[in-house]
Amino acid sequence: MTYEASEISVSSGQPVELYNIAMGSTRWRLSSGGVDKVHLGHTYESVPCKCGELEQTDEIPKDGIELELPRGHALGVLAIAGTLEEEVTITIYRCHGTDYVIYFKGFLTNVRFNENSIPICFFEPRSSDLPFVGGRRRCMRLCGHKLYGYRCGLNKENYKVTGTIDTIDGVTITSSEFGDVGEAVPEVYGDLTKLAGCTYVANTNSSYAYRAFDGNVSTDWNTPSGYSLTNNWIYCKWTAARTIRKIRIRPGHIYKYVWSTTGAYLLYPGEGCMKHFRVAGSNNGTDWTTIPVTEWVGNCENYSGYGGSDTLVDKIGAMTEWIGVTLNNDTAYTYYRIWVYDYWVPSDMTWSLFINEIEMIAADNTMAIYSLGGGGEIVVGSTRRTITSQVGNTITINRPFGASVVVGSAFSAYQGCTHIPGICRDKFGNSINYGGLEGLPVKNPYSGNLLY
Amino acid sequence: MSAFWKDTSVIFKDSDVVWKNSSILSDIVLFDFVPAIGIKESLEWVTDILMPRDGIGSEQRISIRSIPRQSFSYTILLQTEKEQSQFEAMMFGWQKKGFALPIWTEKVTHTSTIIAADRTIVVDTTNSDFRDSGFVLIWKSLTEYEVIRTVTVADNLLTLDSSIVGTYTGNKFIIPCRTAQVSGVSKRTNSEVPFSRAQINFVIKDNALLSGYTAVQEYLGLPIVTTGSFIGQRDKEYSSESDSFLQDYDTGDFDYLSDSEFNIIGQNHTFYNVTQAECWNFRLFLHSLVGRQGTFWLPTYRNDLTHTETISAVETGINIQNIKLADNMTFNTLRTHLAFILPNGTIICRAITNIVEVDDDEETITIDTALGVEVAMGGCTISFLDLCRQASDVVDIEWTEPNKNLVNQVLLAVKA
Repeated sequence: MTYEASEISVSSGQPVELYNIAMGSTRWRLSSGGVDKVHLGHTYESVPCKCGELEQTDEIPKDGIELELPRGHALGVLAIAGTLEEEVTITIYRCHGTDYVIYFKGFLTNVRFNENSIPICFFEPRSSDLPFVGGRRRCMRLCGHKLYGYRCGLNKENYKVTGTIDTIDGVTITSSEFGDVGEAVPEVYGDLTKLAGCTYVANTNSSYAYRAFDGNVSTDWNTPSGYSLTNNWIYCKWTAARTIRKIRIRPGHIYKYVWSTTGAYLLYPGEGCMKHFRVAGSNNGTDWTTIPVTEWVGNCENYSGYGGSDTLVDKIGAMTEWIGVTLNNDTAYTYYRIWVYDYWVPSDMTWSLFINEIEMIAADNTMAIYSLGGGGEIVVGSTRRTITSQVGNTITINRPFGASVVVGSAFSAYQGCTHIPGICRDKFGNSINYGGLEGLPVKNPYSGNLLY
Repeated sequence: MSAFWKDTSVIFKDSDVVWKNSSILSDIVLFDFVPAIGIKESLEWVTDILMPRDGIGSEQRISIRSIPRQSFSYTILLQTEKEQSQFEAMMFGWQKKGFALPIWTEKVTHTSTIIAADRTIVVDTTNSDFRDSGFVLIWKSLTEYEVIRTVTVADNLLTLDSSIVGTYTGNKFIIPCRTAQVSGVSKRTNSEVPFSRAQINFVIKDNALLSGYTAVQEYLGLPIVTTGSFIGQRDKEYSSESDSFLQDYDTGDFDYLSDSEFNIIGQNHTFYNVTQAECWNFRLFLHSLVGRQGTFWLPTYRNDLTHTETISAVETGINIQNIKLADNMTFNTLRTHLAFILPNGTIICRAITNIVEVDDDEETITIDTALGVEVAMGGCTISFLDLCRQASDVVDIEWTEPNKNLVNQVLLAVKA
């Protein structure tokens, strides 16, 4: 008999609820039935537990559910000990016999204890943390992505530091490994001019090529007035080979030079910019290898017909915004070249090609644990603590570890993020995935005094 | 001593208890006091019943707890002050903890010799709740017993997971044990020194839903209770509730209003099981009902209708004495079937398809199918056949003697 048939049957319904509670890698699987049940290969233990009614109110997306757990249940104990370090989620299966449906999915918002110290957990559906039904993200300047979450896209393991504790005193921990990663080469090569030994070359106006790598979008490399706008290139040369995985470009406008009567020239931004480009790497500056692109972010797309290695830049959008490409590159090159072989521009005037800025993002990461704000954490065994600050070899955590964490305990520490654009760009090189809206107006354009 | 379970071959004597095989019970202790006659047992299910206002008695019965909780109330006769102290000591240490509780109502008498180091016991397990990986008590006397765990249970064989420690000869009991906890208040009453009576209630932890019930006879896929309920010295009550509500504001007129076309009919029955096999089979029957969820057919076992002529094997119209069925009941959805109970015990069940009044003396009932046998005047009992369920999810079993119990149930007729 199917689940639906059992639900509406006169006298065959024998519902049992299974509670799959998850906190990180920990799972608690409980059953409301009188015997243990196996579902999807997991055993749900028959324990004293009770789930409240799933209410339906005017705000259905926010209707939660109460679950009374066995006294002394680990989740209740953790809630007593302090703030839970990780999100706790629940999936409730409801079944008749062996026919199951998913009845409820949500996350833990509150734990309280009744007069008999029975933990009562309140779970809300995932939709309850949305500002409105159907939306997914709140519009704000700060990035709203969970650090290392799937929208953030960073691989947590790439930002891990391991070591052993040198000293521990309450919330203060020192380890030489914290300092080992203090001042390394930034992962995001935005302002390459700070790296001694790097050189920058272009096919024309080469002396200004560095301006495309100086971390300043107000300075540019450009072709001279009247110079051919096709087949221009610019490259940087590192002091050592690096594996670059992403390139971020702020193209800027195509500009028209107009000489004034006073002898100065004026720049008129045109409705165009670079059109097609290709990325290549080299270790001698002569033999170039085209690097395939696997992902296009921003106002650009795959230039079809070129085997996934060329990029077509949108005519309008890219003039004032960043675009990015993800490279399928596992080779460390000393030279990286951007070859702009076409352009968007009216053909009857004299124009110059401009590139505001180029950023290169490497595969490796050697940043220090930068724990200002959420996300930085230290893990000893299966116990996690949030890092609230770091000064050299010393970090401060939000609350002390238990007695089992001592000098010599092995740890894994993960870098934090303040969710601001600069950290996302300079520390993680992840601007492509930045989730905030930098240009969001701070003043509501629909409020204020009437002008007429 | 006569108040104990009657088995003259079992010796009860007051001396130190020898506790054997205690290592297998690391977190529970054997409740090694023998209960007096009058054990009370309860089985408790939980059922949600949803009743639509369709006026014809429909209902949806959802079993929220399909595995019944079993509980026992034991009365312990403590015949010496030493036994009283011993009982109090056990309560002091273990009342909050777990017991291995011998189910004395399911004991099996064993006569052949059990030899130390045996790994099996040949015993009839078919009418007792022995379970794989369960506890079994071998009980010879207050000083000769041991608890051992089973591996498997066959119809006539217990296979044990360790060797038996002692040797037991002559009559003895093999008793299944459940894990249990004490519920409520445990009382002890001294009636005269040094005699004392203790009352203690246990709830079973390792409950299970028993399967294997096979009905003697079925009708429309549901079991028929083929024996009438026991009256003895007990009253047998029938009730009829109008399923109405009172609209009354105290100051003016009032009225009883109803949206249904039937009355809620209740019947109080006591079933008396007089052998261990009957007790076990009735237990299986109760388990098959799953509390208030399940239904079964129950003839009234009265002469509700009296036929006024021979009923041929092929006719479907049966003349009966006029009891105003046509006027008063017509096709009440709760009473639309008949049981024709023949002298040989055969029960023939039929649905009523029509009722008409012939004259002041007779009515004709039409049944859906002819009986297939000829029934002479007075040759059968014609009883109404009600589809029933239990009115309560709690079933109380009163054990009057070993292997004899009374089960008192209030049953409600439901829409067939």
